[in-house]
Amino acid sequence: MNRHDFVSGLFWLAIAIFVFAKALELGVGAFSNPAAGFVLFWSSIFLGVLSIIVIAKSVVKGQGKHLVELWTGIQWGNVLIAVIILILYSLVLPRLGFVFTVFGFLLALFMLGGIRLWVAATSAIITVAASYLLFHTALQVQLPRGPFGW
Amino acid sequence: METLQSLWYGFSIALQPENLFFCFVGSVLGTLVGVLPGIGPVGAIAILLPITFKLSTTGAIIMLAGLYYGAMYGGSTTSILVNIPGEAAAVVTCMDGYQMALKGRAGPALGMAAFGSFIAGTLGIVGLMLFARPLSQFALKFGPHEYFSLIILGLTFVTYLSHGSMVKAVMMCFFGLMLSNVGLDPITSSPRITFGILELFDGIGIAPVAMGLFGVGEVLVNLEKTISTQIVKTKIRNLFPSKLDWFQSRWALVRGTLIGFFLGILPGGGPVLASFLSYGVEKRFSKEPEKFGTGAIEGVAAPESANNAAASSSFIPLLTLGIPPNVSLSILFGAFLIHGITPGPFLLKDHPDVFWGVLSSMYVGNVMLLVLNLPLIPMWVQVLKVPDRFLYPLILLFCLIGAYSMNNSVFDVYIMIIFGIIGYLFRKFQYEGAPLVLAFVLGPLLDLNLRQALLVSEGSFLDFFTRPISAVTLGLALLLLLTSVFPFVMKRVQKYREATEDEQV
Repeated sequence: MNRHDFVSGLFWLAIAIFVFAKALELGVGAFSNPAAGFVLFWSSIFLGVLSIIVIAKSVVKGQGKHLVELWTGIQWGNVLIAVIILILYSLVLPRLGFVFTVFGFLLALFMLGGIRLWVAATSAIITVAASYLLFHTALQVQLPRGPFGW
Repeated sequence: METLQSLWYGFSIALQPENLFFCFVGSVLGTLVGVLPGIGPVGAIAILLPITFKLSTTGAIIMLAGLYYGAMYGGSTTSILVNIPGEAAAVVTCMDGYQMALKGRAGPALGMAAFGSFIAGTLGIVGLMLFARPLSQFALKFGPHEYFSLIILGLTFVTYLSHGSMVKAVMMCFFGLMLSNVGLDPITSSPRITFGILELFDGIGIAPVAMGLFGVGEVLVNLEKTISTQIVKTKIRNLFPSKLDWFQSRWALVRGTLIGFFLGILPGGGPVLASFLSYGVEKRFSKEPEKFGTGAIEGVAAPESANNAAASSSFIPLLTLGIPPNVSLSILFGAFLIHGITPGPFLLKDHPDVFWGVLSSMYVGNVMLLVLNLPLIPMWVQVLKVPDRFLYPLILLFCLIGAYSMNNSVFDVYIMIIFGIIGYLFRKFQYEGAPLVLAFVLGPLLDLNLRQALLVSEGSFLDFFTRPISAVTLGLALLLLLTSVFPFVMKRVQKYREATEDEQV
């Protein structure tokens, strides 16, 4: 039951059931007059059937790796920290603006990669300046402003 | 004659200074993306897409197209020097290219890759030029039934050619269709799975999805690894293949070009399949097949010419039928739509400047790439030495800026991060993003054409099989599905027979 195909199959079955319910809410219509939920309805049925096949294969044949094996012997902590940094970036960006948020983002990621603090800080400053010049000044991309106007 | 006049018109657009600049930028960035393992052309096109919003349609497509076929050129550099393919279509080049480098022949390997790519890419563009007009005329006969059938064929090809489980690939297709339905229904304007979020009324953008799945997801997967790359420590001299190299590779170039050209047209085919198939064919036809894998020049010439020919010809279904044959061109298709142009049979008639401008720029781009790739190889080698711990944060930063700049909205950044996590989990749980993205791009067309077809035929599915083009197309799709299932069925029958015989014994 802890095999990765069993878990993923259950997940997709849940998605299929959810979309099936939403399709019924929207209305499926008839073949002669399909409604807004028509493609969603049939897609969810097919996805549900296929996810049951994946679950069945996992249970009957014992197919798939154990969940623990997927994250054994690798630096999964780096991935988790990187995701947290990405989420924090998106939450902080509208408040602090591009310059400060990107500086913090790059500093955190460079240090995650094992770069020393002063090298990471210097590299982050150079990258922030270069990307600001490239995207905001040269390419006229509207970047969010912080409390100091940039 | 008319084609030549149109081509001349196209050159008048492609050779404008700003378009030349965009072609150059796209080609250089494409080569860079191809050189660097990790982010492939899909991620790079997705990342650059928001930046092209400020450009004219022609300029934007020229740059993105340059990026796409530029990546095919660049992928061979890492394959030969580091034994790590810069992108998927360059996997096969590793086999003989790296062996040639170990024998001190990195220069001729890189040179043959560049020249082979140029020759095949140019011939591919000639084919595109010749086939485009007749195919567009043919596509004018397409109605909703034909378009629906063609989309089904395209989706069937992708699942058939998936690397892992076909069941999982088909699941991702259906998930992609579901995602494409998020937003306002095009016919009734009812909100579908928007959760009341205003930003979802326009649907989910292709760029955040693609950047997330292929850009962020790829970086996250690489963060958990500790692979050190060893660049071949040899002086790269004499980039020109010898006369013997040209003689030995002559048929590899011809066959690779033909294989690449025809496979590039087919949905789901493309440069990756073309490179594998051409290598296999060369080995099959060779008088000395045992030398493949030990540094055979044909082992470099064949896949490199195939992937570049396929990169050119894959524009045929995109531009003439409006069907992107692979994931990279799906995003390019999205770029067209964002600029208010629908690729398809009317593109040639309604926007000849875009069509011929892009096609002519591909000739120009091919020359630029040949000129860039040879002298700049030492520079690409230096780029390869940039440590991953600097490179990956930069890639993530470009993704984040790209996602935000689409609509100046943090919401797109959230979407990209969510799909980045999904992309990472896909790789862990062995699901593929390519069928999802293709179905996501084709989903709105499929939805609209299916519903229109059923309205016209009053709910009858028979019309799909009585209209000749639709019938042939659906027949091909069915044949493809059956041939993919057939080996599985035969295996089960064989096992049952063996089990029955054992019982009798």
